[in-house]
Amino acid sequence: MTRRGVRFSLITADTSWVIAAERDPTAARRHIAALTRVGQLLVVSPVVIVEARQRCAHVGAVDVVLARLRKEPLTPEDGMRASELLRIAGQHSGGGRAASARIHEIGTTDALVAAMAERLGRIVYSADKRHLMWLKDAGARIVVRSVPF
Amino acid sequence: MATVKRSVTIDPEVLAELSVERRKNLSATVNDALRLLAALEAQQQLVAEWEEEHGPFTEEELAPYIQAALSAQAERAMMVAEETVHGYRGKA
Repeated sequence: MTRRGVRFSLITADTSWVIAAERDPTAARRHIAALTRVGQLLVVSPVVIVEARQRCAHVGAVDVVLARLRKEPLTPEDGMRASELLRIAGQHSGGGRAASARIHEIGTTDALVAAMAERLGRIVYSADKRHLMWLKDAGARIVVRSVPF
Repeated sequence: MATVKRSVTIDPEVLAELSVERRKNLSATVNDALRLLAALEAQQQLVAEWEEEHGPFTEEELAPYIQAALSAQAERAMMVAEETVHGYRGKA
């Protein structure tokens, strides 16, 4: 999207980014400041909010982080795409029990994050990008970047 | 939801670039675009608040994050370009 010649794009983060931000708010602030400088608008999905609030050490601290980020709703199409990506990621692991284990390990949240990222600006920031890389290998058209938190 | 009516002038070239669906419901399109601009401004405001409290971020401390963001943008641009080429070849 262009704002009087200044381009900006929507990018997203997975749960691990939010957890890392809770642990190191200074690093998170630096990251958001850097994103702002290059015109990247950070949005989070509802599933990331749920998972981050479940996994964080202090709900209050993570709520402070989440309160200032833009929330982006998921769509039914995101759900369909997430399902497809999980299925393919499972097949890539060899099928059978290995497929079930891989799908379970990736989880619905990261699959939905990948699907939403494809629909938006494609870029996902993560503090633990293993799951997202499996989804990328499964065909998700996303760019995954880890952050030095 | 309460709404307000405003008269706006739109660049016809921008309008022409929109999909038929977007043009059909121009109010929704304008709302979507304004929400994004408001979100971007909120993010800028957040950074400004932090800088007011703790002093400005230095280039040195932002450098690794900016580098990661720019390399992500470059990779995305390559990805989109490749898809465009493949799409073009697919149609040919």
